[in-house]
Amino acid sequence: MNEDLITELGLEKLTPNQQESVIEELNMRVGQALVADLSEAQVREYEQILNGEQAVITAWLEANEPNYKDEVAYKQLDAGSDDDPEKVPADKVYASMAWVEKNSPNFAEVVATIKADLKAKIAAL
Amino acid sequence: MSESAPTPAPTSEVALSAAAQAKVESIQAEAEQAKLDADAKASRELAKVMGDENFGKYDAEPTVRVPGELTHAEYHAQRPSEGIYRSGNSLHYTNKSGFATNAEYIEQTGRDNKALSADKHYDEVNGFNTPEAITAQEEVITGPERPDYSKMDIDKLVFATATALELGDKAEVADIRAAYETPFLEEVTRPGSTMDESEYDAAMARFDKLVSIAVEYEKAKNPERAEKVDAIVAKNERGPNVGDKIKAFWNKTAEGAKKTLFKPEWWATRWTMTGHWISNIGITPDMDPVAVEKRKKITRVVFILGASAVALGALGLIDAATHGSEVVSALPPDAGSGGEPGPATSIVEQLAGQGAGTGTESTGATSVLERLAEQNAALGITVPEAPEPPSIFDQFRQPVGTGTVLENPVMDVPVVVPEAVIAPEAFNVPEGGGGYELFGNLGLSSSTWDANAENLLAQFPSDFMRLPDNSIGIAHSGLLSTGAQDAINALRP
Repeated sequence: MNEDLITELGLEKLTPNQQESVIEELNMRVGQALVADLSEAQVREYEQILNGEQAVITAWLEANEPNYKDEVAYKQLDAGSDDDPEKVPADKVYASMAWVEKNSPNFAEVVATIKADLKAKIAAL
Repeated sequence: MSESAPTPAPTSEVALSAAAQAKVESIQAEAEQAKLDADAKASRELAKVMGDENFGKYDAEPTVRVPGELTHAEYHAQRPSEGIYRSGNSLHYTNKSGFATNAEYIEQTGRDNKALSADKHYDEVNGFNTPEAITAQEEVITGPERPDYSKMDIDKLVFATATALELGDKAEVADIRAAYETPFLEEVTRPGSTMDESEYDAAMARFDKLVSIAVEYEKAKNPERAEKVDAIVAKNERGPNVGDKIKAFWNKTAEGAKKTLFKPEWWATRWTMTGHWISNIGITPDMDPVAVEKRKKITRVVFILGASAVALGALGLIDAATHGSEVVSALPPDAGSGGEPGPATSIVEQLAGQGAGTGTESTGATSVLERLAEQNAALGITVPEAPEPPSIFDQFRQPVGTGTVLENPVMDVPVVVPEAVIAPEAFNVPEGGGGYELFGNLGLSSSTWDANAENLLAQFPSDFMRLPDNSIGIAHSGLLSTGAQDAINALRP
């Protein structure tokens, strides 16, 4: 995925460290833009999901994606973790993604806009 | 006695019984079949004789076959561009010197193979050197049907390569890969280029990886999959949710191709790579450990939130770009103005209220940042003024190794302060290093090198040398003399 971003942002001529820094900046700026519209409770909930607090994950999924276990995506995530030594729970990954989509519905636009800004700056270097 | 009328004699036509008639027909049928069989046998024998002749059995000199080329497939693999041109996924026959089918190949090469040495008469054997064939080859090379790979973007090249692989067209694969490779090759070999071999190798490895993904993607396409995607698209029109997006992602992408996105390693990478500057955002020297820990936690959440959104956006299921302009004004300052490059917005700036009035209106007291600002105030944390926080891009404009990273609590990225002189390590010339590379590493331009190389050579002949092409190079690897270092330092603006 980083390789896609490197191409998309026009980072090919930067060193690997510089590429990483730009992608980090992209992630951070997107996070900053999104978090500005979130309440403290929302951020706390997201953090709990990231931290793998099962009760929060289960409650959130039941409230927002009650049929998530029937979803193909969930099943594939679940199957995909079988050969994963760390066994990251599929419901955690699924919930973390779904949470972003639900609580930051404009995330795609934000990502696109910040990407465009970064790309312009890179091109101007 | 009166004469009676004579009784007419029976004729042969009417004398044949039905049984006899049947026998006649049977004989006729057998004769016809025998003729067919004989014809078939004769054809087979004739074909065998012709085949033997074509392959040199009756030739005065032995027939020499084209090395490694006994079938049309082998012919095409060896000489794919001769006499055949590609249109889409189809191969087309241009004239008699090219063979679009195995039958044509056998027919023509069998005839032409007679009594010719493949070593000396390869083209004659194959009919490749006739004027028509040469014209056809030129048309193949320059004709409008042949795609101009050098002008294609990487996506098209990747899928063209995948198609060529599916067709088993190794030569085409090589052509496409070469088209992608050429610019990198030119760049990595260009004097003064900043691209090194590892970057070049990485670019090619990336291309090969994308081709693998494209091949898997093509393989994965089937009606059932298409049906699922259609269903998902229809559902998205009613109101997409992340489950649908991920499903479509999996359905569109070969299973496993991007599964790493959902592996812990991926997320670990997203976070551990932030150790050098992001984790220090908002950390001030006067913070107590509790406040530092708290700040790091929120920074981690913000970063992963952003990384998650970027990852979701990478699924490519939302055409966000079309809405980009609509949200510019809704973003915090510098989070996406799309125009003037400016400093990155830091959490600290938002906490300090800088720019709060020019960006998104906060959702009142419920904003986590405002709450944290209040907590900071309660903790006695003050945020000094930050007139112009530099972005990460400012670092790129600084010479490598020439600045000092300060733990400035105001800045969202490390501040690189140009020093009075360039650090001596920057003058450590690698084996084979040149003047452009040295100056590039020092943040000096190629034109600066060109303008000063003669003077440097004149002043420091032990460090610089005249090359056979009359240009000037570096005479040795390792550190330059201090005198040369001082002279180069003096060239800095």
